[in-house]
Amino acid sequence: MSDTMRVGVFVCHCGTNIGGIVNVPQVVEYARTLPCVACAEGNLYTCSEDGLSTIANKIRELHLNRVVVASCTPRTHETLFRKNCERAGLNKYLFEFVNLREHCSWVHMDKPEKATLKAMDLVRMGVAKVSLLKAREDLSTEVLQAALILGGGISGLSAALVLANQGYRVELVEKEAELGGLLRFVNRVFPTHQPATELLDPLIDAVLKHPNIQVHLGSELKTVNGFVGNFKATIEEEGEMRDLNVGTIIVAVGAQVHKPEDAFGYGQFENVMTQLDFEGRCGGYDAFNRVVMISCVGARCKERSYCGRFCCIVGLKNAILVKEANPRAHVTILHRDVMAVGKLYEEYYRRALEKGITFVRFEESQPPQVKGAGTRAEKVQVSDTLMGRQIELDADLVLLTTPLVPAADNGLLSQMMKVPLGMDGFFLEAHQKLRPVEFPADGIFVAGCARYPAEISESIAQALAAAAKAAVPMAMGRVVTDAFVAEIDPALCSACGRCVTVCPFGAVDWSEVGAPDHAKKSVAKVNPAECKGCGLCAASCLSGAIRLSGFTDEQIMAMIGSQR
Amino acid sequence: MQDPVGKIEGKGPTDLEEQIQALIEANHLHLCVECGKCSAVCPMVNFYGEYVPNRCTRSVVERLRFGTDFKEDEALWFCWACKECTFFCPSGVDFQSFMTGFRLLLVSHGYREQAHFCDVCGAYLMPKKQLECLEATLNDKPNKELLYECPKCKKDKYANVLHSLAGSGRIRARSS
Amino acid sequence: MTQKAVLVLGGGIAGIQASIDLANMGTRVYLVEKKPSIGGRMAQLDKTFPTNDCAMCILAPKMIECANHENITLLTYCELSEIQGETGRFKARIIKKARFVDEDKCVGCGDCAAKCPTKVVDEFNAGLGQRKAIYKYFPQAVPSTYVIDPDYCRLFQGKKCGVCEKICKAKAIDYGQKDREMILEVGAVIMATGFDLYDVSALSEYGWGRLKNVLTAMQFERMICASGPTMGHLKRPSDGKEPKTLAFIQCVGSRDVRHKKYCSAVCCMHATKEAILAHEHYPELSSTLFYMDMRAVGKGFQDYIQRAKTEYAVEYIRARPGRITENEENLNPVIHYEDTNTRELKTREFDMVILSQALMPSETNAAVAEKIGVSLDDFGFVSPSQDLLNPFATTRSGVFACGFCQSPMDVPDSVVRASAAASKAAEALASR
Repeated sequence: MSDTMRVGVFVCHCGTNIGGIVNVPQVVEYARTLPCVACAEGNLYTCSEDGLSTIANKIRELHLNRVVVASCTPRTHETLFRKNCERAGLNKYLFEFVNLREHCSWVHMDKPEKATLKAMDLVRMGVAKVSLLKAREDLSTEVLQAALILGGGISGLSAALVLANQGYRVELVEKEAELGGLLRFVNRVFPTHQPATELLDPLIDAVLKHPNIQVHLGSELKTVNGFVGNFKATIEEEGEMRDLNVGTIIVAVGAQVHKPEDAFGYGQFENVMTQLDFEGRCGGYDAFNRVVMISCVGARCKERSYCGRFCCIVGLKNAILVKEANPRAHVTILHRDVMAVGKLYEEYYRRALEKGITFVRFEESQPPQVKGAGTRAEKVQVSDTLMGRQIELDADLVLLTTPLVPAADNGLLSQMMKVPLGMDGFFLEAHQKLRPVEFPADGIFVAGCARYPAEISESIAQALAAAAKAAVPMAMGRVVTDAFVAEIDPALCSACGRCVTVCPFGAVDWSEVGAPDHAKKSVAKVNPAECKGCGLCAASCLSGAIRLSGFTDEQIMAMIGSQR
Repeated sequence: MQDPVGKIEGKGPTDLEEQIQALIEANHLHLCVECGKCSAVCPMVNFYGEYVPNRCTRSVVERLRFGTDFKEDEALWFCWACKECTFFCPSGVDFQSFMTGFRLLLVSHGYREQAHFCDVCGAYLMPKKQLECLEATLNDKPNKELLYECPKCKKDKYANVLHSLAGSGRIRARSS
Repeated sequence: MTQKAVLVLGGGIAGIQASIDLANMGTRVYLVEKKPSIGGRMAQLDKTFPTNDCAMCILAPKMIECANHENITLLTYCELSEIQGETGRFKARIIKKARFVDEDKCVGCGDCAAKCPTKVVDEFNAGLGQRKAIYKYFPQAVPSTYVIDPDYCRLFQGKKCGVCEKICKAKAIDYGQKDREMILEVGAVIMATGFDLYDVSALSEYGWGRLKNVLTAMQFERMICASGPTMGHLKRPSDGKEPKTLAFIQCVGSRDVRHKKYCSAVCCMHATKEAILAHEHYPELSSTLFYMDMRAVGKGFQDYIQRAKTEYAVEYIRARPGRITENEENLNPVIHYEDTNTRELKTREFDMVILSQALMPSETNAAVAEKIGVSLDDFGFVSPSQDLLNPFATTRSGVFACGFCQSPMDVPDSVVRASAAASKAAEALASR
């Protein structure tokens, strides 16, 4: 059935944001003269209750079949206006958003007449385009009520438990033969100084007993296919291949402690070790009289610019434990800033000072020298920046405070799941401020040291946050995606692979097509459930095989071709 | 109790040094994080002419951590015990009390060259540097004599004067 | 019968994030905020470290999501009066303060404020500008409804006026509006009450409040923000001139036994950010930052500091200044400090000095905590639970806490903890 195009145009003043520069009534008048426009209105705030109901009423009264709102930015308001159209009975994809604020009034504040002419152009283009939009339906995919958690350390365990307690099925995959991650090698935790086992054991116990959690020990991830709601992960569990079908994935694979090869006598002297090595001694805090700790070993340097976040605190912990076990011991911490951030850790720093632990500051350009004889370190020389003098400290134990570094197979996992790594080798989240535990690809999340060094409370926080994000699609049972997705015409696809490479969301993949009497050929195919409609593939395609609905060539050409 | 952390000269602790360590701890010098605020508020560091690094308040505190080898350094006699450093210290170090106690310890162990004592009883009064400065400022004024007697002796002197005045009948209690 | 609803107290970034997460899971959320708009402290910032994203640009979509989400009921200009019950069955009494403006009618056009005769010191702009007695908390406020401040409005002070009522085309002014009470039935509560700024006039040695060209970091943020009182131009308060040299002093009131013993966590980074922004606005401007420890521990933070040093003309000096005096001729602040790395005592003159003020739990936090029955620590932060595995629990079961009200922290940490608290709240609701 072909019906005549009936476009409603609604131009917003946006308070004075648009109306203060653009002559809105003039634009409204102009809109009325455009082809197919059945009505044109101006509103003070189109997004207000008032503005929205005006649009809804006009849709019903005038049987509008297309709506153009010329106002602010679709980033914040597209969903709002689309929903409004839907409620009034108009398919929400028959709506076009024209930006008269960021694209017009705000950038041409000193040229109101020209801004008005530009606004008229933009509205005309919007009307030309909207006529070519087609009604579409949102894509809805079912979500499996199960999560795959990679890594059985404190992060993985915490996420597993909180999701299982809400009724979701959890597959916990751990490559070692036992659960616990790095904390297995830690003796006591800061700042309570309780044994790490006191934290880990009840957690591991709860996870092993939980009916909703399936634990896979000695298992490695081999492949991952699928998309949010429907991932298929293949693991190798003690020699056997097994498929796990889940709706969401949380990456909690942890990190490893940096071992400073040949620095400060490590490997040469038996009494020079990392903080983690020291933890492994379990007890014997009173065995030392002259302890010297060196901070920032392998961190905040050319090789690795980042700060390990909590290694200073590990140093404080071991220093305090030594001092408490042996009050006459001399404990000196050589540092380049004491990173005791916030309330708890500043208090902890002060506790260390009160116990008589000494802090000496050195410069990156003049690192301390560890001197010894045979297999034992005996002295540490350091240039005290603040005193301006060389000091020599006797040492019967030298502890090197090193940062966490990325786990060895991050690269492999990154490729497997098509999630990015940052320059530092840790997993890179979608947005550092507002989306710290999410990846750009929907349905996959990250928590704990896999993302960046994180102490226990931070790891647990991230794990619970990732669990909250994972719970969203699982709670809803469905994932709804925007209908403005890319489509590839297999007849035109030359299989060059550009689009597969360029897609940031891993939404384009290879597929085989062929009719019975033709040889099969590989072409690229877009998975609409994963596609975010960014258009990179369409822009990269040299064969013109990809169209992005909502931004097709015809629509763009119509916008360009519409003459004033 | 704490021995000095590092050695600069390699000598072992003596009785005086143990006492100094106790004073350090009692006045919380070990809580110093070397922010430099004390040096910045100290009115005396620049007072005696050209400023020499390592003589400011913070440096003194730091050096004490590594031994008290500098007991003869005249830098220890710059302070006028005004209490600005203690007042402003964000870590709670009471440097003024330490300094006062430290000097008493030093003079009691024979480090007397930089110190000025009460004419009457020989008690420690103030650094010689402070005396010279006050003498110059109060040049020939009557209260100059207050510089040479300690508060206790001054009080005793006035008390004696009062007693003698009362005994001579020149002062009488008010009649009812 | 478990109430599948959660009460979130505080509409800053933490409260907003927790609300959105819970709402997306299908849970009903009541977001209660004492100010006329949500947004909290992040709305006052110009940009955020280390990405230098415009704060409002990343916050506004979340604020709008809260306002439009079918599962979130936004209760602004509201306060908690009382709460009873236990996990699964809380009854909260909320007082909705009278705005004297009808929320359903007001379209936020601003005609009333334009004509209002009474000017008031603007709290949102850190005292640097003025607002009217009828006002919108900030331009992008959500909701965008205006509100009358009865402490300053002429009419409420017994004088003649009524200008706003006359001029309002939407007939939204209602001087007779009363406070309203409502009872909310929820299964769990999340405290996200955020922080306030320490009054640094207590550090008289730095002269804030007395010396004209000494400002706090929040005042600087408002000044450099394009929607602030000076439209994003840096102007010395004494003569309106552009500063060429800036000094930032860290730990003003923090890490200080005389004021706040703890570290406020974000100042090293926000001061660096402010120095970077100043240089971006004015390429000839250089900054000097006086610090004790450069606490840049988060992801990308060390690189940020490096860039500040190499690309944005920021000099870092390790010193805690003793005092700030003033050059009487041009009112330039003069900083007296000991450079602890070179052991030199110096005095240096700057065009403007910015103090990184200490941050502390919000003043209403104590009252709220008392009403809920949640313990606070000596500094007024919500006491962390002793159980390291349960960092968001408070001393009252079913009540969780997240964000700055627990401990000083930056935006990414707050956002993570808000989602985590949402997780725990969801778990609590599911378990009954």
